[in-house]
Amino acid sequence: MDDQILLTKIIKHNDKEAFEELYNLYGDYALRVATAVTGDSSKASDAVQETFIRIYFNIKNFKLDKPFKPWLYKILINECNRILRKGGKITYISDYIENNVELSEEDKHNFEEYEDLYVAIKNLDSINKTPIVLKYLGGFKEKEISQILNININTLKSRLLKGRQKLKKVLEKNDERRNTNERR
Amino acid sequence: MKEDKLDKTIVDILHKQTENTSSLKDETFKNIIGRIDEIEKGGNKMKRKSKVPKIASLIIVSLITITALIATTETGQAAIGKVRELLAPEKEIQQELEGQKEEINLELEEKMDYIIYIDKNYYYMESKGSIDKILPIGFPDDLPEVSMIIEQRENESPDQIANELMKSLTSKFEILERQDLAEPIPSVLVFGHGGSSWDSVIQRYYLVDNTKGGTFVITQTYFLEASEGHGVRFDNLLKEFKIIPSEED
Repeated sequence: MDDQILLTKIIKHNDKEAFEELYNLYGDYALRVATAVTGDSSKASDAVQETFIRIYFNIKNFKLDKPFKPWLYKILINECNRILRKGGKITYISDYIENNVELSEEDKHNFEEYEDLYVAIKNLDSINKTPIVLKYLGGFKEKEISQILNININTLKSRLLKGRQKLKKVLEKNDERRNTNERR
Repeated sequence: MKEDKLDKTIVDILHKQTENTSSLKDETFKNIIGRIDEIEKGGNKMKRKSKVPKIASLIIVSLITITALIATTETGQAAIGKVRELLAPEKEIQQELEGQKEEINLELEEKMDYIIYIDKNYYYMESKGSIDKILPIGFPDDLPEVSMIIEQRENESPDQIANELMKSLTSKFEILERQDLAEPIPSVLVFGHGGSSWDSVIQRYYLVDNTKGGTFVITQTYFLEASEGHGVRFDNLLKEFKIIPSEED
């Protein structure tokens, strides 16, 4: 069932089955994006909870001729930022791997290889990190991201560029280090 | 490193890093439904209101009455055209934010005594009694308030209210001034600035003659860091504020 049919059912009849179906369509990636933005899966779960509750009660403000996904992510990113502003511990990727992920051998190799890059993404300033996450994990176009974040498209482009430049440097250092090790 | 490889690596890493969150999906939904049920049972303020259809039907009745009354005169014919123009369901305007121009689509909000066009990608309107409040969608609770409130005061002119505000707000703001404005809307403006830190409160009271001896009081509230964003957007919405004439006009 497509978004519009589900949303119409929720708006007209408070249809909870339709709401669950909507959650099943978007909940997974909403959790992923919130985890990447907040760096903590429990904060991500909180942000997704608040987001979907807001959506349920404010759905009347949504215009059915508009795409739903950018609206959802606008609320989600605001919730993530609110939760981050409230403070709490920062979860580093090493803790995250240790505590949350059961890795295959191949994954372990990949994690080790790119561990610096994980840390670099997590340590990006939020103004660079959130656009990167929305682009590369959320799959949004730049115009959509600028609308979600309520910023000018050129500002967004500059923030993405700076974020990518920082990540590129980390990967280049990784490559250099690996090449040096191989030569030894 | 080639750009394509960089892009692919970032995509792969972000996906791998977050793939285990799917284990939280069911638990998260249980919490969502639990909270919604709680709120619905408790009659929480987030509950939806069914006020809009009533207001819409009243507006339709008023417009039909106005149209019938003025249709027989020459000036009336022109006025009908104007009412129709006012009620275009959507409008596209160009606005400038942080030095960049952008096209935005505004949608009509109809009230008993006025209309306004709202950028519904960013804002929604909430009405309580005779007070209409325009609020940003999904705005964080822990930031200072951002809102634009529209209300009417009967039998008080813009001048009277401006004088009253200039007295009552003296202690609240570091800077408090009064101006007569032609833009974004012909009005008397009383504005207060709370200071120079990012979260200092700014309030702008636009006092618009309601043509019936009273005043529309339109209060914009935001904070210093939001001046270039919400401040500009609110003023652009105000350019589209129009009073609906009453039957006596």
